[in-house]
Amino acid sequence: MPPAPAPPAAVPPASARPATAAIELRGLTKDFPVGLRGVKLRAVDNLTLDVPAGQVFGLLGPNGSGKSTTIKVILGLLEPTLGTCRVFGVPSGQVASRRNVGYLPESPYFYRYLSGEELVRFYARVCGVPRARLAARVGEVIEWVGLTGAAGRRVGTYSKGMLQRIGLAQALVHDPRLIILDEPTAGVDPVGSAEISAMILRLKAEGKTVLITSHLLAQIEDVCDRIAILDRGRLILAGTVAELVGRRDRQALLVETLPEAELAELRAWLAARGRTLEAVEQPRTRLDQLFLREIARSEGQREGRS
Amino acid sequence: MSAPDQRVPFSYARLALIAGNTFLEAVRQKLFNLMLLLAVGLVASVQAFRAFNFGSSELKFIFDYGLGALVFFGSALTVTATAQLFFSEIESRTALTLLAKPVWRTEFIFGKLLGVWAVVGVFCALVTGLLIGLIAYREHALMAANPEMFTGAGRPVPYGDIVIVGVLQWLKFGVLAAATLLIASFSNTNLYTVIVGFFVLVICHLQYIAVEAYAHLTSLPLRVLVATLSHVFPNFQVFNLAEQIGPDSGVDGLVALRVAAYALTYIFVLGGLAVYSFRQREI
Amino acid sequence: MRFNPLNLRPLRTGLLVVAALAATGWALDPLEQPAWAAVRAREPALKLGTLQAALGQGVTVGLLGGFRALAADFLWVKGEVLWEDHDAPATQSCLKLVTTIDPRPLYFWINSSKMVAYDMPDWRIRAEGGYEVVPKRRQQAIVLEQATVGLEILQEALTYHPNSWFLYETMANIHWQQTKDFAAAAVLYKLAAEQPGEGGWAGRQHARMLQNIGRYQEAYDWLLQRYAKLPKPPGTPGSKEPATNQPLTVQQTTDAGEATEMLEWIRKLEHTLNLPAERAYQP
Ligand SMILES: Nc1ncnc2c1ncn2[C@@H]1O[C@H](COP(=O)(O)OP(=O)(O)OP(=O)(O)O)[C@@H](O)[C@H]1O
Ligand SMILES: [Mg+2]
Repeated sequence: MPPAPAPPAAVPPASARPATAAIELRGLTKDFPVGLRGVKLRAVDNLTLDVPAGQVFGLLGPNGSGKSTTIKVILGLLEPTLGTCRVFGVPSGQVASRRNVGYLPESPYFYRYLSGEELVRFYARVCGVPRARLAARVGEVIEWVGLTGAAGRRVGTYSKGMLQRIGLAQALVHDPRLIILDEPTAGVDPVGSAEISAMILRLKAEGKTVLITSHLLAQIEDVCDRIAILDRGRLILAGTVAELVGRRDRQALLVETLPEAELAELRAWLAARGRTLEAVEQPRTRLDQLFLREIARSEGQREGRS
Repeated sequence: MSAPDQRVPFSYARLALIAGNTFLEAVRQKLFNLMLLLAVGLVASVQAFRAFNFGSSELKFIFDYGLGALVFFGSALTVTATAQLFFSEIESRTALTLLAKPVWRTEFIFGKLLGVWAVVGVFCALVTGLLIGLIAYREHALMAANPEMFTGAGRPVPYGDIVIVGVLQWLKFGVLAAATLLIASFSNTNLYTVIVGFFVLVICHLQYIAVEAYAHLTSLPLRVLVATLSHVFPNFQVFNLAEQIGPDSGVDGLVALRVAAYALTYIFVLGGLAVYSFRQREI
Repeated sequence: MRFNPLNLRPLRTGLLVVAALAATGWALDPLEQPAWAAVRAREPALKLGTLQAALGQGVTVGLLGGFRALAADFLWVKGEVLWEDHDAPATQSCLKLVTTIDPRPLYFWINSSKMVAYDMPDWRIRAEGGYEVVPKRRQQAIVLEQATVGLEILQEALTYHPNSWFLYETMANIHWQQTKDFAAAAVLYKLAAEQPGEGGWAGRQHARMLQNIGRYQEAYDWLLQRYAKLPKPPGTPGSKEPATNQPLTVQQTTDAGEATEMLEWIRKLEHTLNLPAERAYQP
């Protein structure tokens, strides 16, 4: 994570960098008709937001806060009730706006009757990947998402995590500049989640823009440059992760366990300098890290045996 | 970096791709097994009617029966397959992924239409082919058994006309598929689409009654209303050119061409309206 | 949440679709009308009066276009099942329904009449105790009753197929075989012989019937007239060409046999009529 040089208040106004924004939302509002007599549900309320190109952007919020709805508007699947949405400068109502976009829907479900490879090939051809590069490109993304062994199987037989992976493959197959992932880690095991995080960082390294929604805040924190938080369709917070969660007035020191006497000495040493030791804790391994480590060890043993 | 000029032109290749995928779905969803079973069942059941050996009129009987079966099961297949293949995309949310790609909704709708039409085309070809095979087989057997039946008036079986009739039915099913797709484009469920689709099918067969009725109406506003309504639905009776096949007459080529042009125009108009309505649909 | 006036967009779309379809219907009238006229001319008009019975049986859909043949065919199968159960009244009404729905196939008419005139008297006599028990007069009455119904069916068929030799021949057969009314049979065989496409058998039957009732002179005159029209291959009496060494074709062999047979018949009649040798027919 790069250190954040700028103070929190200095988020540049969106209009100041129009050329670099991958997605520009201006006063976006989306109403759904619910029930009879014209009662409407406002799923997104006057949302103004920029997703800068080349960054990983996290869209957060509780269930039903309008994340998926915002994404659908960006993709032109829904028409905004009010406001505008542009993708690389092209209004999202136009087909051309989707040319450089890869999309993984939430809880994806694909043509069950195709094999994984056929599915990716179909989407590649739809997106106009040249025939000459088709086979190579399809093989490449399938390998990238780690499905090479299952590529010949019908998608209908895939597990939830495999569906997410094949979904990722189809989103990436035409090498888009903007990748939109709606809960890519839902239903994926921690190993898979970690792999997806790694993939997102690789995409970022390649200069892609990534828009991601997730409820796994630890993961978001690890990969995102910027985040925005929605609640009931309204933007309540936006900024870089470093600005929002970094605390610059505190530090944690990690040392071997000290005997009581040495700890008392340390307190005294600090007191002499006018400081206090605020907390002494036993650090715990995070459960996900434990899981990852143990799985890795078990796999290693299995490979060693065979 | 940004290139606002990059356009995505309408592409027949993408349309064909979507059509091919729709067709493939029908193939892999075992729709074809069902159709094959149906077609073979029909032909086998015609044997059941042959309680009497009735000379050359038996051939006419087989033809009428086979055509009736083609019309009936073909209509049912068209309506249900169109609705099913459209809503399988919507309900399983694969349309979401597809339309998030640089795909025109026109390509999507006409791709679906073409895919369904190809499926129905295979059915028509199958039934017509089996029918011709059966008629040829019976003709051969009957000629051997009682040759005097075939000496007088009455020409040999007009196989060419049977093919034309089969093709015309297929064109009609194209119109029906486009109409069903138009219904599907604004309806929410598969079931609703199938029910309304069958309703429209019946109306299209009966609209000529309204046309004939409005010629006798005296009140002008009523006349205009009935005339308008009767023009909204295509007249499916014009596809019944099989009636023209008799011992001394065949299908009039000019009439057949007119009917074909009629069907193709309707397919385009109904498909276009389906696109118009589908563009407003929120996926 | 907000309260809005009614959303007018679906309404607008619907109106536009209807308007576009009506416009298309009108624009296509020049294509549709001639085709429809051609099809209409061939459709046997539906008689609404007789159809009321049919409507009660849930076959309304069967009257639509191509479904008509199919509905009739299925009812026909039902009729055959009833026929196998020897259920005379049910069979008879089912057959009636079939010919009402689809009067086009001759097959339905002919077979209906045969079932009624030939099979049903047998069932009825057996049901009343068998040929040994039922008095001869009662048997005759039953046969006559059924024959009358069969003849009525064929009479109605003639309104749809006015020039069918097959219908006349079937009527004549009933008179000959069932009611033994040879005079009536003779008239009908003659009518059959006069229709296009008849093979010659009805003509000979006419003479046979006349012989049966002792009208030898009429039979003789008729045969002479028929004989003159028969094709006579080379070598047969009356042929313009003399016999050659060339073998005859299959058709010619058949024709030669027929001509020879008829000439023998004529000679027999001359004998019966006691015609002097000098007045005998010279081919
Ligand atoms: N097609 C629709 N018709 C009516 N209401 C809808 C429709 N789609 C979404 N909504 C409503 O809009 C609101 C926002 O939904 P959305 O799916 O955007 O939430 P989300 O932030 O993605 O939630 P989650 O975290 O559960 O995925 C919800 O109240 C939802 O019920
Ligand atoms: Mg969501």
